[in-house]
Amino acid sequence: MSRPGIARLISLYRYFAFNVPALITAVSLALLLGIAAVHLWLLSAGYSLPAYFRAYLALLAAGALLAAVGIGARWVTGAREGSGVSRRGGHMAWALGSLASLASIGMYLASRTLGLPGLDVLTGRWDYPLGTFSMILAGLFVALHFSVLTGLNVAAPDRRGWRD
Amino acid sequence: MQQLNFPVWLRVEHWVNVLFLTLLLRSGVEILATHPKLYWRNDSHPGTEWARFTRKTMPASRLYDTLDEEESYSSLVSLPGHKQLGMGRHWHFISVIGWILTGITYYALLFATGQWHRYIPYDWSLFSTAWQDVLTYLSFELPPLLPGQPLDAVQKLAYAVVIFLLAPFLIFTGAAQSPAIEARFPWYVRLWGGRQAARSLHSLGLLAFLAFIAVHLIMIGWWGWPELNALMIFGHVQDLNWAIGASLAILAGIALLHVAATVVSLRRPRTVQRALGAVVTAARRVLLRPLESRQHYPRRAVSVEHRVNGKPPCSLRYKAMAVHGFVDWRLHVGGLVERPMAFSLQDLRELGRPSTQRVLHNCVQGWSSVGEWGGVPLRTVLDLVGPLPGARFLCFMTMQDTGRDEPSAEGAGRFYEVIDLSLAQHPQCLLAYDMNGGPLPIKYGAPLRLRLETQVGFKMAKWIESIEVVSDYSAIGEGMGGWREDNVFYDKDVEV
Repeated sequence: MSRPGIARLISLYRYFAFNVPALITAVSLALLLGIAAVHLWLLSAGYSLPAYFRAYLALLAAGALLAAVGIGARWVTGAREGSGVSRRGGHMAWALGSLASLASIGMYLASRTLGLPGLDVLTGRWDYPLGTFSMILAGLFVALHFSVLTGLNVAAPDRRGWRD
Repeated sequence: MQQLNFPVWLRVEHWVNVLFLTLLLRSGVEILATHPKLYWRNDSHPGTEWARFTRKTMPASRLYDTLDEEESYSSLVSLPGHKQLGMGRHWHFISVIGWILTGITYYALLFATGQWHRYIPYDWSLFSTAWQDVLTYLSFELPPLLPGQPLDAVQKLAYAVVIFLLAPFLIFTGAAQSPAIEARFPWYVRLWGGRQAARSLHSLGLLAFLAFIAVHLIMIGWWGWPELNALMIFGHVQDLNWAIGASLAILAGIALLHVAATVVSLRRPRTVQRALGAVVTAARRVLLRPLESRQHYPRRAVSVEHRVNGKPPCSLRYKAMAVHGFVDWRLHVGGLVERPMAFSLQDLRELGRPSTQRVLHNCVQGWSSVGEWGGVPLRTVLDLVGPLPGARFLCFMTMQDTGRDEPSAEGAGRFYEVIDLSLAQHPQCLLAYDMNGGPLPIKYGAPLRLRLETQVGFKMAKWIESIEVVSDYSAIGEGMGGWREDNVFYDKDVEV
């Protein structure tokens, strides 16, 4: 395919723009809370896990929760200029959410393919619904964040400035 | 895998359904392209859309109209593509007719033959089984089929939702966008949250169908494309290579029909307009023509701003008349009448106290608004001139020259529209000279426009200067019943 063709294909996303910031933000919060809940449940389920993995689960859940708090706080307080969580703070919360999501996907895939120290039993074990579910949540959050970054969606408290 | 032995009628209907559904999806995208914005509120107020599928931004410093907002999509996603709303509407409506007839036959046979057991859940335990199936799928494994049935529990629920909820949902939300239905049953539009909510829900239904098709195809691939296609083509599992070949041949056949529909629509639109329009018009006349407008929207529902569709005449003559408050303007009513007459704006006002109506306006592009219109009932004017025997149609000639006034339009020439004489007897069929309590603004058709609430907006000619009562319209313009019918290939009768 020629370069202009590729450029046209990539620019297709510009044909789509949505103005549902509350919905997008609420869904992002639900996804992050879901990711956190899954990892906290794993932590408390009584599995025999290596210490580093327990730390990873705790860190990931904390990261997802912190991102959710940041996005939520930006939504609630950010509409008033000069107060509450700044726009930059909101961006950092979304980025933290994506970081946690990508980490959870990466760690899950690594544990099923390469294997993790002390967790060899997980290698090849794709038959774990909670793991697949967690990957879906994380994948959706990353996709949602990508849509916000590209301008396909906007996150609260931002709104479109459409006038036409 | 157990043999399903799909009956012949079900197998035939499945593939016919694929054809109609794909035609509906592509033609639906074509219709969306003409006003690629979705709203929740009836007024379609600029900037309030929740979704837009366009890269265009409209100028703030000069008058633009909704024709400027149209998008031209590729034929890959729309039928026929390239900004052909008239063709898209023909294909959508003919496919709707075909799809509904297929669906009615399907429902009837489903219940007559006992095949409904296949899809309708009648045991609460199905839901817990479906949950187990979801967990099994999340484990990247296939769940067991229901005992004696061809589907697993979650598939059965999914098919039930699509067949008995999603398909009717799309038909009902589509019907809620018909001006005739909206005009006769305003409560029905309110049921869906309004005209634009119905349009948004209809579009979301389209997305849901796309999602279903994607999951359906993934599931077929996962469970076994050759076996399942053998069952859906031959009725039983036999020669799998033949099954793969036959399934690909059927899909190629459907794709070829799409290509043919696209090519003929782009190259010979008049042929498509005549052929499909004959069928669709017949259905409209039977189902929708008897409906008469009974709208009385409350004053608070009147839209603050109405979109502009069509640019006003920019001739010196029109401008001079406008500057002088249209005192020199005359409405000439002639043709097959006993007493040809000319009316000034004052004459029309003196025909009686203005009739007013607060009604929903439906543009053919999909946007809407609520306005209060005041004027004289068309039948009052016709009673004065006295149509002669043989009179069947009214031709509204306007002062707009589309080639001069409307650079975005697909054609040139004086704008006119033809309606059946019988429509003039409809209540709320008005020659409007007032809008929202004041004189009709220029951009909405001053000094006089037609209001015909059971029809789509383009039939309501603006900037009218004469009405010809005729027995036939085949010699007017291209003979299709209006400027848009001639140039954009719409149907003459547009109750939907």
